[in-house]
Amino acid sequence: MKKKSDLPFALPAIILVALMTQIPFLLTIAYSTLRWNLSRPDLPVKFVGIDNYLFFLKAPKFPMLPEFYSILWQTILITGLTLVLCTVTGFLISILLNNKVPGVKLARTLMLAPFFVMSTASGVMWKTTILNTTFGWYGVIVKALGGAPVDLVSYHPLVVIIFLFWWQWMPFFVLVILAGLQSIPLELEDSMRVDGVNWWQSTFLIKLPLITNHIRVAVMLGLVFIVKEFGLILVTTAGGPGTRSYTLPYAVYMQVFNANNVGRAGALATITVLLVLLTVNLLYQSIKKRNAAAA
Amino acid sequence: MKRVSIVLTSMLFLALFLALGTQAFAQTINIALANNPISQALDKFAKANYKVPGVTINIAVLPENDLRQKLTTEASMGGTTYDMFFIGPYEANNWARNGWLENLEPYFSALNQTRAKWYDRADLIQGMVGSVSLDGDAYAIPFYGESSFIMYNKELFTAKGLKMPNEPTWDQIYELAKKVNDPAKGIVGMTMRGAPGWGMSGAPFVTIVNAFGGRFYDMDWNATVDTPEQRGAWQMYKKILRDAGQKDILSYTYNECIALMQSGKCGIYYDATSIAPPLESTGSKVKGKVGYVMPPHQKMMTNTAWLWNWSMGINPKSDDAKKQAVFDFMLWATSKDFIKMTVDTDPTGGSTPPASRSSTYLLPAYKKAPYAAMTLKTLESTDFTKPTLEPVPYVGLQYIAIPEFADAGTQMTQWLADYVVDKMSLDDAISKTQDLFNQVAIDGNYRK
Repeated sequence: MKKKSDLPFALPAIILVALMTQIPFLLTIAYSTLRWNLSRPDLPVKFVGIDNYLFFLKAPKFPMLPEFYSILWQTILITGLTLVLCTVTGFLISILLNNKVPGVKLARTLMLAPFFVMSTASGVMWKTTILNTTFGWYGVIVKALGGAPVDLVSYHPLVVIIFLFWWQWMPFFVLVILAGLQSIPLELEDSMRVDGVNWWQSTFLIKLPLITNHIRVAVMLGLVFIVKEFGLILVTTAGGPGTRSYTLPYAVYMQVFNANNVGRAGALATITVLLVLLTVNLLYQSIKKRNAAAA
Repeated sequence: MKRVSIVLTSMLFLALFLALGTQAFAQTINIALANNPISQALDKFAKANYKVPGVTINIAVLPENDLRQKLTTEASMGGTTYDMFFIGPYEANNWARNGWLENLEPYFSALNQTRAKWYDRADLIQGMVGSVSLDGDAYAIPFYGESSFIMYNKELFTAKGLKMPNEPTWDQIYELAKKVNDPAKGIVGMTMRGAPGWGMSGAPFVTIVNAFGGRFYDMDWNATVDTPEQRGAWQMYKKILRDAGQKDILSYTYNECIALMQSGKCGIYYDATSIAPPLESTGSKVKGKVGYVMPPHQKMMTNTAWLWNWSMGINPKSDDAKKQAVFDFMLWATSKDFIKMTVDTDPTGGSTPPASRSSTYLLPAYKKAPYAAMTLKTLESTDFTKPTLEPVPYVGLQYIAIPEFADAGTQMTQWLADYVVDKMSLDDAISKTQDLFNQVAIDGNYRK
């Protein structure tokens, strides 16, 4: 007897999920093909094909590249460096927090605190009460030490943004990696001790390979979260100076809310989503390949 | 049991009826204001004194850049989050044309004689009303107006033996700022807005461009950013802030500039005339020590100030009852009574909306204010239809009155910021701005 397909039963759920998740994206793609400026209702909304994409991608004055490429590079730099910093420090701190010492539970809770502070709140706090050269701790301390404080937000915006992203997201990495470390069987730890394995070997040659999947998951989720982080940039550097701390999502925001240009914002948003999907997919494939090899 | 159910059901219906009833008669008016001192004062006065049965006023005070973005999105998308739009002539002009503002003439016509006499519409400064009108119809009411001038700390000038000319040039201002600047003592020579944004650093910067004889377009809408005049203006803005300005240049909106000037540690401040009252208010360390002179000129000798007002308009998408409630609130906030109340409460004039009504300048307390005469003089010297030395196809002194300028002006100030902190060369910044303004002329179908 021919087996009946399960598809009719799953179809309503598939349609519902597709409608809820894909319609905004499909609409964005549709908008990206239009010349549509909200502040110019007198100009008709017009289909322009891939013109909006070309506006960002084409380089008429090559080798001088348009703004899009520097924003793309900044996005890669901010996201990449934050991920590396979060992974390295997250792993090291997790190792520390994985010890059974008095007060470790309190230390774990305190370590997670920055993750639960709203990004806009932490941005304002860092910008005004800490990094300000006149009123902030940084300014006061540097002056007390006889130095001249540099306006970090203006002169080193990328360093500030990466540091704040790290401060905000590192606890998330600790959370995931610590869970991985705690899943290592106690028997294995006992065996290591019996075999006389030193700290360096146990940490980097045994534990680290065992929790690689946890780290990859943390990096994959971290990538999705960090690349779309927006509030922190808005309240600290507002993308500046110039566009030096713009990321792609911030540029999309400016296209919609400052330029009121729906078409170009749609094109930029589509490019951003495609790039993120591509990167996440690469990471996901590497996890799958590793799991298959392990099996 | 049955009786209990009946009682409970009746109570539920009663509660529902009461809730709906209250909903039907009460009006909540949502308003967003800019976070400048005079508007913040309106927020306080409205919360304390505006008592109209059945009307609740909900006021949010937002940073100027955010307010502009939010309201533009709201107006263009036909949203009703805010019932009253707090805007300037730049928006009013474009929005009235787009149908994003309610025509106020029918509301004025419906006023009875007593109320019309109480309000005295003719007392509103006509230049200000005209800047937010279209084809003779008012689409907004000016709440307060401003031009720009130089404010300087007389005490610091005397200590250094310096004298401020009554009509300084930008070169003189730069030299004076450098002489006053004394980092060892924590004295800043001159402060100006440095935070990017067309209405933020763009306001002083574009007036510098005008003063240097620069313009943004020729009569055929070809961009004219790459000219010696414009370059001179870019260089002047940078050298003042780098050689004699505040340390955190790009973080400074007018709020930080005001705080710095009020602290007594700044020599010169170029900004809006409406900034003067907070400098003369109680608590300011420079109260009574500030001198006021005309905005600097250079190649262009007059009309080098800016002209702006913050006005109140009605969201045409709100329902009729709300529109009427908003109009009533607007009349209250722009009335002579409101102005008198602000002067009575704060005799320094720090909470009084300037340049909206002629009668304000007849109030004895206000007439005495050290900045009053210079405010009037600068207001009278401005003509926003002839902003530049050479003819241009646009109007507007510190902005170009086209919808695209909000974005183009902001991008220009971002590159200006880059240039100021040495992240971009002048050539690159000028070249990018030139390309951008050409693109705007093409995208907006201005170039024929």
